[in-house]
Amino acid sequence: MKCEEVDRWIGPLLDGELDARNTTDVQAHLATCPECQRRHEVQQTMSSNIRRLDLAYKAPESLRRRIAAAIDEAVVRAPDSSASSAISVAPSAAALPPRRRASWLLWAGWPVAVAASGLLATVLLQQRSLEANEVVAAHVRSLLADHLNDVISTDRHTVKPWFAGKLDFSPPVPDLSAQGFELIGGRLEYLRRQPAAAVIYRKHGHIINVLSSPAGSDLGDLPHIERLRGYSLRAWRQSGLDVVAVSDIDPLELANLERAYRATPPAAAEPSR
Amino acid sequence: MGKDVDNRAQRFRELIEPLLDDAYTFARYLARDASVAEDIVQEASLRAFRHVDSLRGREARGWLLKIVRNCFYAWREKVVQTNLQSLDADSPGGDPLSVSEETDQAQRDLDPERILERAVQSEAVRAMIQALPVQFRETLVLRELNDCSYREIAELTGMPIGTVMSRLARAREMLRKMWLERADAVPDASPGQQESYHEV
Repeated sequence: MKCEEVDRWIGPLLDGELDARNTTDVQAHLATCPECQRRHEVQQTMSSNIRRLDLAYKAPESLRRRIAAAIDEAVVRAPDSSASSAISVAPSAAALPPRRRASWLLWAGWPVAVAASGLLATVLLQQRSLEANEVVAAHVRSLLADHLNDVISTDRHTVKPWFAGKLDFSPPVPDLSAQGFELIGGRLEYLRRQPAAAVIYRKHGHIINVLSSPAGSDLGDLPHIERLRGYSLRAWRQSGLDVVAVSDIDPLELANLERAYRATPPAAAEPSR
Repeated sequence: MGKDVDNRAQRFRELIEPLLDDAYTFARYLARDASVAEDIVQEASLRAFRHVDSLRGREARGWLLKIVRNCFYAWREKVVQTNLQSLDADSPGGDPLSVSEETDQAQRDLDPERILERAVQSEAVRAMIQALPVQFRETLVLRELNDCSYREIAELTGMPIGTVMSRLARAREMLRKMWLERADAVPDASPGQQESYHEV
């Protein structure tokens, strides 16, 4: 084994994460190489110092109490809130223990943050996670069944009109090549018991399905970010449509995608005829 | 219905409450701010409560830390978008390799004696960890403070194990450099006995 390679394995060795064979090799090398021995010792000293310093924090008592209170409240409110129907997940900051409300305003665009307690929230969340499941299922299906595209084109002026006769809304099909998302096609989906448009992009070999359907239903209650079975979801509402992107790509890429999507003015998303 | 919620509250108290220190430590290092960390943990706890049924058979700690992480990134993004706070060089998802440059200068830092002798106080080390760019910071904290395995880190961050390893190595290297710089700058930051570093 070469020193560079050994260097790479020193951390895993000290972390107890190196497999038996490599451990033997690394140790054999360490026995004969003072240079690597030194590296090993340095790392060991650092790690044990960090541990000895006990750098972890304790959750403040006040925080524990607030959390416990919020849970209690959810339990207390559960029986009677079933009466309320599906509406107003109104930002009920009041439901939160009264501390630093201003900071919650910061989170206001974030639907989940708000549905703090009560059965209504629970119902919506369960429904939402069903929808998240549905979205992931659609994504997986599109990859498995070799049914990724109904229309294969890297040109949005082909993809967008293709949807025209098939849907009663016009999904955005922005050109995101500047952001590194390559358009590869479109497909019809069936989500939430209604037709939806799937626009497919690819980046670094990852397939991204961007599903849109008319807003008004509950997809807007998807959290902005969700991970489900190894997939990332990102949902937002845009020009009267609920849009959700799903992929196995890094969630940050989906954030980039959303930003680029939103930056596309509705007019520019229309095909120039 | 009320019963379900009761059960969930029960499960939450058994499974999640004991992990709040872990959650808070992780949030605190990510957010680098005590009250933001509290908000993140509170939000993550409420989410965990709602979904605690889905936890069956899974490891609670990794699951909770993952929620904390999601909450942190959501918060962070809001901050970036609303531009209320400038977020230093913490650019998201940076290529770990692009950050690296040195290695040869590390040569003279490779003296275990110096690290041992110039051990530094807890608060200083906390500050060093917090100075790491977020993607290295989270990996290091998960490993060294939350005591997660590589696999756990990979699962909860969605990174491949190879990335976990390289980020961890890089984080440690940066930390070691800061450690030594600090030791050089404050020669007697500490008298040198490890026993004196325990903090309550």
